[in-house]
Amino acid sequence: MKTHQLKPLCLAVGLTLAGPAIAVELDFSGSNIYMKFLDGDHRLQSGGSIDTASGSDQGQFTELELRITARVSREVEAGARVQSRSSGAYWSEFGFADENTPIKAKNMKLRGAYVSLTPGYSWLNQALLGSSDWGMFDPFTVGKMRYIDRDNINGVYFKGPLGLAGSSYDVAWISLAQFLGPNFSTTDTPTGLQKNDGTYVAQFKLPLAGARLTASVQQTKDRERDAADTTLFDGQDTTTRFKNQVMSLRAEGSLLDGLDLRGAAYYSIYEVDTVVQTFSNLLGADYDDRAYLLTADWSRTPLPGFGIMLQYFNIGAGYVSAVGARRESDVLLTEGSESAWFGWGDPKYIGGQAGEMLQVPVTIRDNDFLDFDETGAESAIGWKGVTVLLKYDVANTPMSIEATRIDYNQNWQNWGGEQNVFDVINFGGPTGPGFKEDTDRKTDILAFKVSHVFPVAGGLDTGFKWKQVRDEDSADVLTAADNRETVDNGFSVSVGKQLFSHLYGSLSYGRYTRDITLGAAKFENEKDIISLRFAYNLTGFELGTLAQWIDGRGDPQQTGTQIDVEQYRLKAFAKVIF
Amino acid sequence: MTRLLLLALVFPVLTAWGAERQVAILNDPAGDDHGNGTLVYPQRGDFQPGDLDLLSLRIVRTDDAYRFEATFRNPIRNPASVAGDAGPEPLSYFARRGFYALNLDVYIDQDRVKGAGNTYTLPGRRVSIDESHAWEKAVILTPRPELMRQQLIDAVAESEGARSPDEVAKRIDGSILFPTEVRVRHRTVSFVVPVAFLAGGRPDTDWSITAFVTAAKTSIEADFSLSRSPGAAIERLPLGVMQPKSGRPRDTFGYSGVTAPPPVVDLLAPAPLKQPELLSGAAVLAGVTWAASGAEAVAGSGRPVTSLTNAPSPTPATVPESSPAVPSSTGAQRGDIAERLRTLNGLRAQGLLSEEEYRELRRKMLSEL
Repeated sequence: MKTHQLKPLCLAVGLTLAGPAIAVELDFSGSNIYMKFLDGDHRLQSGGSIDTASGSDQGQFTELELRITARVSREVEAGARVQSRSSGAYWSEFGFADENTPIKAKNMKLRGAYVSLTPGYSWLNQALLGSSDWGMFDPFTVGKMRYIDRDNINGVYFKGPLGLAGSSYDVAWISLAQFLGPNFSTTDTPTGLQKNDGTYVAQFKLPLAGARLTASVQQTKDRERDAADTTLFDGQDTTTRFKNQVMSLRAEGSLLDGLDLRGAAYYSIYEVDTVVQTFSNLLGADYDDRAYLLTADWSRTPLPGFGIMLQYFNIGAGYVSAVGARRESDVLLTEGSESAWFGWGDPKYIGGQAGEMLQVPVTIRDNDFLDFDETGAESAIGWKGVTVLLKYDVANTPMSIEATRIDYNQNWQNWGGEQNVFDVINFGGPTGPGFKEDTDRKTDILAFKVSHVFPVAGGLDTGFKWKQVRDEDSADVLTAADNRETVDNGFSVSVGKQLFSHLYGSLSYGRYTRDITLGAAKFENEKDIISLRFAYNLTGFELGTLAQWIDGRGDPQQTGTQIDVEQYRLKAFAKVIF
Repeated sequence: MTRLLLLALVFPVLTAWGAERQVAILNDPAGDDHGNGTLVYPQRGDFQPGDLDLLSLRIVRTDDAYRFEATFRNPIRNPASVAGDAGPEPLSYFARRGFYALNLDVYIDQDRVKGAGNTYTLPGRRVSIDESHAWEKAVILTPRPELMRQQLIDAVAESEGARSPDEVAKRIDGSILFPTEVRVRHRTVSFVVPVAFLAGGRPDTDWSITAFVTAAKTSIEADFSLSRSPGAAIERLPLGVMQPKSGRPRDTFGYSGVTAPPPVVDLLAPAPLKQPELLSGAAVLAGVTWAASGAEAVAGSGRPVTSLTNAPSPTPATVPESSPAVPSSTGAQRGDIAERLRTLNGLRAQGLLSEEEYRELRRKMLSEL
């Protein structure tokens, strides 16, 4: 299959080293060609990313990715990912000066390399040197990297068992990305010291009386050369530009058969010793804060098919994990805000995002270079409240109702007296943490979903969803003119069918309204979204498409004038995996 | 609107009360997700011990269907929040049923007649089933059921040569079901099997079930290698199952023994010590039965009857002798042993086996012919 015995090569190497010849197994599994096609009527240019994560609505992209895994011996595995870059965004780009532009020439780039050691010691299961997506930690502590960065963050990682049966440890040092410090930087000067900035993290898992405990502690440190130390013959001291410590304790277990409880507590300490500008991802001054999650999941109640989930969440406005998850993690039970209104006000997002929203435990949720079929991420920093989720399944018809109330730890007047701490994260719009001078906000979310497979024509998947999000903010409680209320209502119906064994198709229609009241002014918006989706699958080949037609009327920029809004957008992607 | 929603919720609940009957609940020990004892999870971060650790399999009968509920130690990983191996698109584009990391095979012996039925398992599993639990119907829960079904049909059609795919499909659909109605709730994945599929045989209070979990491949690669593996298509087909490799690899299961164990990560076996025994050496899998009340599961005998090949039963009950999922028995055995002998020779050439070990293992393999 994908394994090649390189015995001649090994023999040569072995003879050269006068040692025993060991066959190296090379494995190229997962290598692929990825193509993406974007079409839309907004004619947007690529968003500046240098790969197919474009953020545009025009273009054709091709990438080649080679994955190489070398099984050097039973104890040693090495791997690398090499990928061509393709921001050219159209297939027929060639010739002349563009060929000299490394990115447009679709040069191959080393995306990541690792060495994995499994020497078989009783206390060590694995040592990893190099790249990883760091998905082995809690998203509140060290987040899994986004797919486009999955090999870009390197470190050293060890894991193994502890003395007690079922217990284990994970220990790592992870190099710090250059934009994850205050002011989106880990230095203040072009020649600053960045190379050794990183996060030390240790995580321990322990079974205890039927429950599972996980504890972790980590420290992220950004160091700079100490300019006051001018005597270099004994080395140079360093100063700390910022430091972030996070401690966590999680527990989960079953009280009864089908009744699970999970709880987590996090404590963060943030210290900064640089001037933080008004455009920063981290806080402007030292701050300690906490986050708590408590979830009960009663999936097997006395009522057949009925289940209930409850979640209490409380994430401090000043909770900081500099390396927490920025996307590809969803830390809360709630669906969050209505994704169909994602980016409303920007002509690029007439239809919002087709995927549902993720809630992430950091201020800098990562929504750059998104395609419209992806999920959006929103910061849950400062959120506190309760979610109740009722589920039941009757006559092969699963349905659920969610009710969520969110209050905010940043409900304060005049910055709560801590303007120096919070008046630095003022970017990002509705998906950001929403820090501002005066806030008195609450959000209610109600959602109902039902689906059923009708046994006609080989099975017809149908679904219905209704969702309401009511968001109220009195802002300055002494002033009515800045009171803002946003009410989103929407429903969608969908029907899908396995057209034949290789092809699945679905059609959906959604209608959405957004009514905004700001002081005495009202802004009404409505839109219809028709979506057509196909997924085609052969062995080694995947093709997916999503086309949407959006038509509506509203006042997206709140000018007081209603206008027609329209958008057509299409994405198709093809993968050959070999 | 809220009142309407509550009414919509409450009404079917009331009408549904008491409409179900529990057929059986089969428990499995926690912490046994290591196959024959040598399997280790992939070293990558998004695969954690417990993900494939089956704790229980519950079977419920409703008016027109059976519902199987498999509960695992860890929460079921959601494909909607995981990007695929290439590109930003979530795995849920193709793994649409709310899970992606596991396969659950359930082979059902409905007649409880020793030797009547099939003893092979589907391609890629590399285990067989004791003739005392020879099955008539198989239910294969997998993240991409349509593609797996088609792969199986294509491979069988290719192996059988002249047969038309439609005829093969008909035969397969009569005895093997890839469920498409699937729900996921935290640690439990449930799937629906129509009563019509399981019609026939003894009452459901007297069935035997052989069930096991394997790791599912997140991408279904084409075989573009320069040196194609020997054997027929059906013998090469992993059918969505992640195959273990020596050591502790990052992207697939590893193992610590000399020869590759079956890719079965967790076998439904109520006796805690039964699983390593059943999944090692030349043993075959035994099913579990339950009393008429469906309350208590009993481990089967597990008496060895044949080697670890996809050998057909002597008297296939539902699937004809030229069975879809089975290559010709002797061909499969020979192919398997030839492959194992080649592996053995390679290990000796690499200096990993002593001459004595080599001779002993070779003698054992040849004795299986």
